[in-house]
Amino acid sequence: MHSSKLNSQIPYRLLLVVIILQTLSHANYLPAWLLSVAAIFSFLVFVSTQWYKRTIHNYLRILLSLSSIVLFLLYFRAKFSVDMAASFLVLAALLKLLEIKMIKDVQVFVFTCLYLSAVSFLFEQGILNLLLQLSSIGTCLYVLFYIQCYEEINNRNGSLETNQIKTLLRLFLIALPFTIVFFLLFPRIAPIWHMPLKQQTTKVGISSDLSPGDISSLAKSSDPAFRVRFSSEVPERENLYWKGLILDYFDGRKWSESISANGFKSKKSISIASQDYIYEIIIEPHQQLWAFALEGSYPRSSNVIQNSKGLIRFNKEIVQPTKYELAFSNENLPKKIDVIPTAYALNLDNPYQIFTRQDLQLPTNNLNPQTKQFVRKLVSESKDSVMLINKILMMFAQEQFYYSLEPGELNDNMVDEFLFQTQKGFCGHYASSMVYMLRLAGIPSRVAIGYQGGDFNQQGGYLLVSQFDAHAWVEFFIKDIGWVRVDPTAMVAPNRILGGSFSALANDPDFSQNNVFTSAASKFGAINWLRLRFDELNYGWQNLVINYHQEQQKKFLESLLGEFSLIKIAMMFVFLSVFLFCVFIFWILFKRFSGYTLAEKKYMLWLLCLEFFGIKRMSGETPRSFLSRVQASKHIYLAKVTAFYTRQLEETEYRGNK
Amino acid sequence: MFISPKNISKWLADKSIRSKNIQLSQKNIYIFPTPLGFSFLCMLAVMLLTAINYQNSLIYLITFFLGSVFVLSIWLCFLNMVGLVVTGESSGRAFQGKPLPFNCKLSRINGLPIGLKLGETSKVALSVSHIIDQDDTCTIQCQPKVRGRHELPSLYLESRYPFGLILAWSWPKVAIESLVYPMPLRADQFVSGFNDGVTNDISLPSFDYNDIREFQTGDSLNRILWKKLASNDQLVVRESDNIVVNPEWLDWDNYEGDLENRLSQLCYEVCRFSNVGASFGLRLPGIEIMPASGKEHTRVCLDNLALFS
Repeated sequence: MHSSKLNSQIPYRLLLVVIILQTLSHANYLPAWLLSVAAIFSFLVFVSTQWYKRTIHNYLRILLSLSSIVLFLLYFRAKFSVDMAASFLVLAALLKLLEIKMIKDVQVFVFTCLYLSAVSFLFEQGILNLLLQLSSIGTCLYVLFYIQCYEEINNRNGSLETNQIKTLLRLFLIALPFTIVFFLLFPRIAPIWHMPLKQQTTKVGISSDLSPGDISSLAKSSDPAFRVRFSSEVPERENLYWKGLILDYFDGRKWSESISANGFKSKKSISIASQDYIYEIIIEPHQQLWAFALEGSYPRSSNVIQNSKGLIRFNKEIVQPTKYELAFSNENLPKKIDVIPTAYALNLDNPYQIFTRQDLQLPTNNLNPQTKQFVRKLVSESKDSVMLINKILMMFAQEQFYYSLEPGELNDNMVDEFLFQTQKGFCGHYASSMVYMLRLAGIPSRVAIGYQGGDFNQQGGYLLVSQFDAHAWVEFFIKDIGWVRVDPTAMVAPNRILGGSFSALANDPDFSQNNVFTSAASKFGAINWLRLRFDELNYGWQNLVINYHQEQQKKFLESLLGEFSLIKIAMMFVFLSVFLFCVFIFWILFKRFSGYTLAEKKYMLWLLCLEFFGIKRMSGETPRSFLSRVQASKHIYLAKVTAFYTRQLEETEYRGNK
Repeated sequence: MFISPKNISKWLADKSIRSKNIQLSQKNIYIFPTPLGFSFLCMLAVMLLTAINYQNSLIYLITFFLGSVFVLSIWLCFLNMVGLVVTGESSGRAFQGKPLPFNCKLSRINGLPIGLKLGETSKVALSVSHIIDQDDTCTIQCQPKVRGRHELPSLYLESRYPFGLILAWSWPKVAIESLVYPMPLRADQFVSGFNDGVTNDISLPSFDYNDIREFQTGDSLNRILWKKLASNDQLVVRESDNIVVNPEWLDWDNYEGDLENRLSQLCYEVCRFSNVGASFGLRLPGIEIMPASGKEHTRVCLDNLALFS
């Protein structure tokens, strides 16, 4: 026999539901071949169990298993990553599904799927995924349950099953408060050993180098980048430059970070002035170390530090939504410089106010001759660097430059082609060509990238910064002022800064083309409203649940108990257990005494007390004869009380009108 | 004997008093995780490690959820069993070497526990829904080695409701008695030795049937010659009154062998006579049962044989 009859105790259909839910929830990062393997396997199991009522033929099973294992080995080789581990688990569950014959197999399969639910949270932590996983866990538990009650369910046609499902749902409901208490109180400890965290998925987001077209691809995505909550009012929109990276190395095609920024400054002793702006950011996972911050901010939470260039960096790669807190003082806010349009002086007494030779680096080749000549001409025409910078900015404003997502291909002489031929580009083009020109003119400068602006959610009270807010701008260094931020894009498309990408690109058909939702959202108020509410929900979720870590737990417990101390925790535990014990006792008494009159209840309560003294009423013994037995014993006082309760009982029970 | 929850509970249960009626309560229900439950706990531990190492709140959340479900299922498992009343029913009888039935009745107001298994020991527990009859009576079979009065050594009840992670079991000491009759053996079987054991059909050696008459209403069914009916469609009966003119005495002294052998032969003879409806008397040392016939008489004789010492 190479295939056997089905064990009717195994609910194959439910198992298929579980595997489909699991495959769907992991579909984002599973390789395409594994998805098709999942589809084939579940289809085969469906056909053989539902139509032919037999398990899968042994030879077929071995063939399928071996070939999928070979595929797995070929695809992943020996590289260990979280993706690989998760794919391995999915494959294991699928292989188990193929060979399910006995109850034991089902149990192994169910356990694998339960663990897969946990694994899926490493990748996706939205509410929707939680709901998906809860339904999968519920189905898994129901499968275990079905196996136990199989005979009853099939003997007593139906009614029992619905009753039992109700019992199970009630069980899950009762489990919820326990879950919440454990979740709140279970001590959060640091990771016990290091785990590979980084996933190989390519998520939308800023990358560590900038080549033409990078940001324009981001502009098409409406995925959230991070959400910010300010302690006081939100700064002006044109000050919302969320800097993440400084690119100071240009190889002729793309800008990237030079290695110099590795040294971390020791943490500045933080003295919080009362007028300081405090703001907290919850960033979406981007698998990188960099954090985004307004100019002049310093870290307030322990998971971020400031590096030698003044940028904020995380301790470890961000693989899940993470909260960090920053602050800046009003004196450190960038100051507007009147002589140069869009220019802000960055923090006059900033310790990072130096420039290095890296900020003048240029590729040593003779590309872009036209630009070089143009800059030479500008330098000879200008009295000082301020004038030169103004001239460059004026050029962007006055010439026929377009702000566009489809700038067209640029060849070797990138800057030349952009400045003098296409004149169509995105913020990356403007910023990089301006820095190129400034460096040619001998002014230390660099490209800063990050996000600009954000949508304020009035009801939620937070600022949502999306991927399409990605931006690149320029920083240059001049004597007496130090580093200055200037935004050439603002010269070309002032709307981009004042109103966001939406207004700057309102007429561009390419904008958000592959996101139907956003383009529809700009048209229909209701959908936009829904989108905002859903985003609020997500923000609250990330804020309260996903980011409930050590610090938040400490804060929560302190808000509950005041100062954090061991004695208080111990006392709380004692109090809680005494409380639960009392509830338990009352529940038992309630169960025992329900349905009796008051006098009976009092009498029975007294009987319970008597049991402590070793006097027990026999079954069938009348209250009277019990009383005489108590009176015969040596406890005189007890006998008196017993007599009182007995009389009370007899009076209420045997007197006609109560 | 190694120490396990089952053994400890058995040892505790053996010390309790036997009674006709036993209600399951917190005093006689034992609860412990099954191997599956322990592997579930191991999986939860791995999940918790994952949550700690990845600092992932949602994994914490579902770990605690599954943990709470596990703990609550202990309670559900207990509630499933509690309140069940086990009553010992009228005793069964069997010949030595045959399975001896013990009947017990299971009852509870709100239906029987789900997934209940019943057995003599924990190893042979069978699903109750298979062995229960209309009156909620279950029959458990034992194979006692010696004749005489037998009490059900132990009764075992278990359920893994709701998820198979927790096992609730009980050893209710229900008083159920059954009698084991001696093994019926023909005299010549002793001569040839004790090799072929049980005789399954207890039938009479062939009689010389001279006196056959037609069936009349009122004739005992035992006297119908069924073979004749099968061969030539005639319903005829034996006029057995002639066979035993004088009631036969089955006498202890007429048989040879040791005590058990004699009892076995007597048992065989009792069965033989009662099968043909003949009247007989039984003489054992110190016991004399006057000749009679009928089911009740046979039962008294067999009971005496079973309990004779």
